Amino acid sequence: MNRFLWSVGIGVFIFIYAPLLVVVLYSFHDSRIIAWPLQLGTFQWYGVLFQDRGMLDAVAASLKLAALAVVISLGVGVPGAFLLDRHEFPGKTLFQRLVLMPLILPGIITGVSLLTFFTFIGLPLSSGFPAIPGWPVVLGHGTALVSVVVTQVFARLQRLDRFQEEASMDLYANGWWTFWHVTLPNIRTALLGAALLVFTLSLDEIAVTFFLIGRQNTIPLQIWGLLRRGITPEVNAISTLIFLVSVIVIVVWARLMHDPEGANA
Amino acid sequence: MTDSLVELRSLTKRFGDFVAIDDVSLHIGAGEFLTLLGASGSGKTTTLRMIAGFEQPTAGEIWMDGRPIHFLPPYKRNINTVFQNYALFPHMSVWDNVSYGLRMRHVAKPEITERVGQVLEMVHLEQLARRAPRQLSGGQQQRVALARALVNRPKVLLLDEPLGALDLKLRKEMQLELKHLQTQVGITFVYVTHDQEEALTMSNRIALMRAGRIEQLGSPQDIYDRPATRYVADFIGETNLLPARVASPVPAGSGRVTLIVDGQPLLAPAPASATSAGQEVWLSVRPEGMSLVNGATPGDHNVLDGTVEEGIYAGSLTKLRLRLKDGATLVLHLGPSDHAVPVGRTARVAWPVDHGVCLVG
Amino acid sequence: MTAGATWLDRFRSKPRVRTALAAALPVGWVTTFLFLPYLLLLLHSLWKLDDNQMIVHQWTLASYRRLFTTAVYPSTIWFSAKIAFSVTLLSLFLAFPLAYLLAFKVKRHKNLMYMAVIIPLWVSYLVRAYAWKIILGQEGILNGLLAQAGLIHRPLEFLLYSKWAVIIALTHIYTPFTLMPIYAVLEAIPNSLKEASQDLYAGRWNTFRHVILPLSLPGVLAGCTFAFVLSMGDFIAPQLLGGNDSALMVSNVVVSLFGVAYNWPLGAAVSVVMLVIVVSLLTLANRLERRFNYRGETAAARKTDALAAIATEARA
Repeated sequence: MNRFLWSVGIGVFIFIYAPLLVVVLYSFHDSRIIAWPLQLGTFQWYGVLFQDRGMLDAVAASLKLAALAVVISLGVGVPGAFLLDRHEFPGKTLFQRLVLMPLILPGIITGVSLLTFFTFIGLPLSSGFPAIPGWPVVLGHGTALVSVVVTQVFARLQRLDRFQEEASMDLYANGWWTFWHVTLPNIRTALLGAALLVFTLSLDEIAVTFFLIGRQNTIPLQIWGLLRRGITPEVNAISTLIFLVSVIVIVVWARLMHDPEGANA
Repeated sequence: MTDSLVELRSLTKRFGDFVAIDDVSLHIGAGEFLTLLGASGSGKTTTLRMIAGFEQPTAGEIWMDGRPIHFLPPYKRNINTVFQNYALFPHMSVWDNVSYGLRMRHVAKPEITERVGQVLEMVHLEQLARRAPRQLSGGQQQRVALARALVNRPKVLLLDEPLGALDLKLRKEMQLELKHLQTQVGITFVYVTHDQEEALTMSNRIALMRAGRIEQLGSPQDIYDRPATRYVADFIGETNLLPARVASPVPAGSGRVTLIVDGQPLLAPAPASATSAGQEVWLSVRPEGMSLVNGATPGDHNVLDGTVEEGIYAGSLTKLRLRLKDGATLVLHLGPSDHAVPVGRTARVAWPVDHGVCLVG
Repeated sequence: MTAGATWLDRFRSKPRVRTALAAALPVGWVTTFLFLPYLLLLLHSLWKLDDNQMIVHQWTLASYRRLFTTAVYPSTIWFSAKIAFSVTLLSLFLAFPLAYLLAFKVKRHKNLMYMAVIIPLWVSYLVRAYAWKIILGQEGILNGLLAQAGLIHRPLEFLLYSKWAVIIALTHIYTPFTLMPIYAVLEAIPNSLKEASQDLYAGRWNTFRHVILPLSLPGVLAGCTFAFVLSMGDFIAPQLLGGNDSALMVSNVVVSLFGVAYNWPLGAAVSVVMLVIVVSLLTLANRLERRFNYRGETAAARKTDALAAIATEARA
């Protein structure tokens, strides 16, 4: 029985990883046609990648979008988490449900809703500064990812030792000072973790972006475009890079999560 | 001596390089209430778990009823356990919890109904049979755990600090209830606790464990009145441990030995091991065995003088602390009718020679 | 020396004022950018599309009527549900053994192994879906290996561009996701319960059947719910791997109605129906989960656990 369990378990593990491995290996595949057998031995696709103007623009756009998403989601999410943790008010349950909707519902529903909203109020998809993605997609990302921040920070707040704040105020520090110097450092890793999560999720976001994007493309949409025109091995290269970045991010995130109130954060 | 039901033969258990149990041998008799007493880390729980089957011994054997059982999994041993945190199945009612063992052994339904009903009555929980564990108080959960084990009529019942989570009053009640239950049902109880009062109250025999070994095995009186080592004397009850030196050695176990305590020659029953002149030993005297002397010293008593440092009122008694000439401290108990001695005055303390215990280690 | 109280202090000490101040930004934002959009979606589903392809703000149930009477829409929803169901079932059968293994059989580096299983969740969804194109294609790896092994003489065509490819890919993507809540619940089962069961004469199978399985249900429920809901709402995998079946999932229909097929009211109606289905499922799952929640933990604690789990999803 034990052996059966182990073989199934390992099988599943392989099932989870093999496809990723395939993509990584094929990014070094020495042929334009992506077929079996695998011919390892070239970096050319990475070269093609770095000369692909469209892709590089998409990378820039994605990064800017992700950064803005982090700012918005933290700016709205942290107060939201505090609100849920410390206050009671009529409609609190509705607020809670609403905040969680983008996480729970398929992204397409949130995307479509936001599209109707922005169209309704007459905000064009490519409005905003030319250097950054349009307002709708920026606001859309930020809003959709507020939920992530709220859940992460809320969970941390629930475990917070309230007495530290009380001690601070007992010792004559006012509300703001206490918040900045006592509360905030204690939830620092949760904030960093949430920011990291939002950044990564924004980079990979497809559903909401699909409906709200203006003239620029993000990385996933750019890849999507390439895929629809037929596979080019360049896609393997960018996918491998994304994989690497994701692994690094999750390792950092895991470190943060297991190092409560970081000696090093 | 009762027939030995369970035998631990040279049991050793190692976790990595840590030796939790070090060559422990023990006979447990049928129908006896044996307590494994000790501080945390002494190995008492590990020993219990090995008897239950949750740990395998690194070396040594466990025999029950004339047959080796140490390689059997728990579900093949005729032994049941009452866990420290009760370990009640949260998704089953009280009834289903208690009947679990019987169901696993495919006992007939009518018999299950009868036996479960009986045992629930025994622990006064008949009314709560349909409840879920989380709806019960700590004391009630504890009784369900007990019932769940007892209903299987095991030869040996293991109890791992079952009263630890209860408040003081409930704990004292349950101690008596458990003791009565055990005498009533006649099952061998192996009980683990760190509470020495509990052990003294309930047990037929106590095995005091320390660092994986049995420090002393004996009846509660033996352990209390004649501790074998300093550790035992200190662990059980309160005692005065006076540093002493052997003046003239005597053969082991016979007569009395003369010790120099606080510069005075005193007598004590000879210890079990041989002594040599000038050997440094300890004299253990319990505070309740001592009394203040005004005037003549009663015969066959040891006497010491000291200065009163502090009197601590403790309800039914007052503890008086004295400092001896060589700096050692002595505590004795004064009853309500004894006269208190003001701090700073000298006082004379006496105790019957046979109340003292000379401890070598 | 105590500082004097100002009217500002008095004002700010009122609990209502403090709440109002704390709520202003988050509630305002959520109302504007979440509540209103979802509301507008609903409204759009009730508005009319006139002959000039313009959206007219007149109330009508025409979209819903069309949705429920034209065969293609209900059948698409049903088809999506079937696919989602297959994905859920497969994910469950794959995730449970691995979760069990991690929770009970892995002694050292448990955290590391768990992280290893979770990492793929973070890798771009697109990458993971696209990888199956390489594996399942006519000239792909699977066909290549089978041919080399001599098992087939012609490439299997049904692998790619079919609903099977979609199911396999979605299973691959969502299995770690199903695994997480199951692992969390299994991990939380105290060891003493297993020991107690064995102490009471239950062997390994009985212990699993009577103790571990019932206690794992909340996690199983959570995992299955997420897998189902996310699969139903998926539109990338069908388009990449579905071939002729590519337009037959609900989300694809929505995408085309908001795009090429330009019929926003109808698209909104389909979205609303999808939303209703999803929310009902989640509510049902919630109710069931509360029934099976034997540990009596507070709803708040469980919610944050489940949500923390969702928070690491990578969804399209």
